[in-house]
Amino acid sequence: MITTLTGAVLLGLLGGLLGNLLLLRRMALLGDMMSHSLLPGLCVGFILAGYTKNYFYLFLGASFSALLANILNEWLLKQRPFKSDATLAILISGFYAIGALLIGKLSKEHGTELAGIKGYLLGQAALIQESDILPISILLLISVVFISLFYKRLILSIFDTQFLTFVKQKPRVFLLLSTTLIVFALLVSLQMVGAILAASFLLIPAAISLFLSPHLHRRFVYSALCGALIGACGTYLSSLGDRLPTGPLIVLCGFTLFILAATLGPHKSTLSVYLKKRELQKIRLEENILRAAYFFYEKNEGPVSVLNLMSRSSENRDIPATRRALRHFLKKNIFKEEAPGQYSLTNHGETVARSILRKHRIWETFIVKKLGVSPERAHDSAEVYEHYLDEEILRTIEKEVPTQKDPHGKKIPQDEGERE
Amino acid sequence: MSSEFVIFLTGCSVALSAVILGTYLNISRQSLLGDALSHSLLPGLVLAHLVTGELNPTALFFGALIAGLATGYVIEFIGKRFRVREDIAMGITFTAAFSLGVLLLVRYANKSHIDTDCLLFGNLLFVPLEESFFSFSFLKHIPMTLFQSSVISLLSVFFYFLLHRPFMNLLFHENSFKLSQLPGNFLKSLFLTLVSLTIVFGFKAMGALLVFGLFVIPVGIGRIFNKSFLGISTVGFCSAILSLWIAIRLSFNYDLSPSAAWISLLFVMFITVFLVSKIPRRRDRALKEHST
Repeated sequence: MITTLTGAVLLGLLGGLLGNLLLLRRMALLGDMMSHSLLPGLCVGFILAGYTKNYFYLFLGASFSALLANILNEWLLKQRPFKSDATLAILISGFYAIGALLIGKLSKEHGTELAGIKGYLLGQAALIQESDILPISILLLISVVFISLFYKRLILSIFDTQFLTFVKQKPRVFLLLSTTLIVFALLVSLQMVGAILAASFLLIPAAISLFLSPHLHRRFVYSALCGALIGACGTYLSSLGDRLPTGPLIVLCGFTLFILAATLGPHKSTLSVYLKKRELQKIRLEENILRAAYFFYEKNEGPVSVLNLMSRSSENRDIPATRRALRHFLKKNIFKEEAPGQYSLTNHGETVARSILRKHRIWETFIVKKLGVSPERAHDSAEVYEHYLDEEILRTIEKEVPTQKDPHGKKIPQDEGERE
Repeated sequence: MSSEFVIFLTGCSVALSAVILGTYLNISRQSLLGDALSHSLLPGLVLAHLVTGELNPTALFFGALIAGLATGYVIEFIGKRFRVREDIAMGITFTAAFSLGVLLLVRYANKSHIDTDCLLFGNLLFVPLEESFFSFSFLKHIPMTLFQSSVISLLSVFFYFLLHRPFMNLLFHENSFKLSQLPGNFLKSLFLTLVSLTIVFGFKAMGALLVFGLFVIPVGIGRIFNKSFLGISTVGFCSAILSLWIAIRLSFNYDLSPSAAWISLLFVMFITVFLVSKIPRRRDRALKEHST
């Protein structure tokens, strides 16, 4: 139990770490392709070893055929008519068919000796032995060292091969090295999850980490940790009852975690996208209120009601939200309540509101004068863009259209720094 | 009918629908959908078996069909809802479905007759031994799988003749599809159903993963020569038939699994044709350089 747990956690760490490299190459299913292409290699290794299960020959054959598949894939991709999905699909089925052919032929003559190899396909969920831990940890160590030493060059070999060639590095070497590591990782995880599911050890943790962080280097760490987590969960669940295979349980744990991360995770998940949208809406609402308040302040109309504040913006139709925003403003000393339901800007609020109006009017001036938009339509456009302009862009635009008045003849408030 | 001929006919009819549907998959860059669907049939089959408690062909058929359709929709849902790339969505969905199938199989159906060998490798040689769907006149000599696969290949041909234009619009030009006022989701489901059905009927004869090969490799061969849809499918279908015939001869003589031999042969053919297709181009280039 402890050995299996250690093995699963180590494999999860390894798969999570290396899987990101595949995901970045936009070939999430490359791992799947390689795990299918191990099959004919295993058979050839079996034949070379004189129809016995000699691990050395099996590993040799399998890694050779997986590398061959990988090289074929690169080569096919370089030619014109094929995209990565087609090449992967063709290689998966082609290599698998050759493997199936060999297995079919071999099992007629050497059925009993072959039994173990067939188990590699579905994964026998056999318990990991202590002797298996050592190669896995060595491979993990090598991968960690490899990725941390060559991190920048690895990333460049995926995203910007031209630059890497320019600085006299060889991008293909890094690709080949990372592929070799992935092949070995697949081979060591064969026993645990089986060839078809081994690829998911590479894919699922990396896919989960997409929703955990926008930063690449953190994604590597997170996906390794996720791999360890699902490895541990799967092993624990499979120890709960009879006939619960470890491999499929690990994958199902991974799937659950993926769905969880995709709905609740901190980056680009459904929840975080929703929250961000809400936040943005709130900011727009507040800025609309401020601009309306400044409009009345400019006219010296005194305190105004909530409905007055809403009347100036076409997109603000939500009374409770406006009241909430006003309460927030009262706390921050931007508005003051003169009489019940009657609000006016404080001195501090006036400066804040002025900057928003400034954005609105400068944008209006800009698109009317430079882009030739009619003044009527300029207002609608400015209602949108006023929320997205920052001070630096504003100054640039101001230099382009040096003016004191906006298209509707109103004065453009000056920049704070310039006024003094 | 001789058994060799029956095997040949079955292979042809599976190949026909697989090549037509595979061409759509190839041009819309979704070749791996076949891979995903062929893996995810397993839970459907196991569940159908567990629910009915026997190997009822109708139940198995519906189980596999529902599993195939569900996978297709889950892939689309994950891709769109969570905004991940389609290959990631596919990889995650089908490995999860496949492991669910293995889990159910090992946990509840250990002593059942679902043979993973059959799912993985299939066997064309058993097709002539099957009982017929009909029990009268000459039709009773037609084995079940042959009947099913010829029906589905007819449906695929109909799909091509009737719905080719709108479906291409749906794939590549959504605005003009909207003009035609056809139900897009229905068309997508119809296509997904056809793909799942081809795999369901094919897998008994060939093994699920090998049917998937039939979707992609002949189309790959066709793609080397041709750009038009009809050209790709025709060349693909011809190469599939040719290699099927050779594979049957080989497997009878050397005692091989015909379906695995078929796909291996197609793969070898693909690589050879691809290599050969590169040679004249190089000569052309040399001639061009010589003349300038």
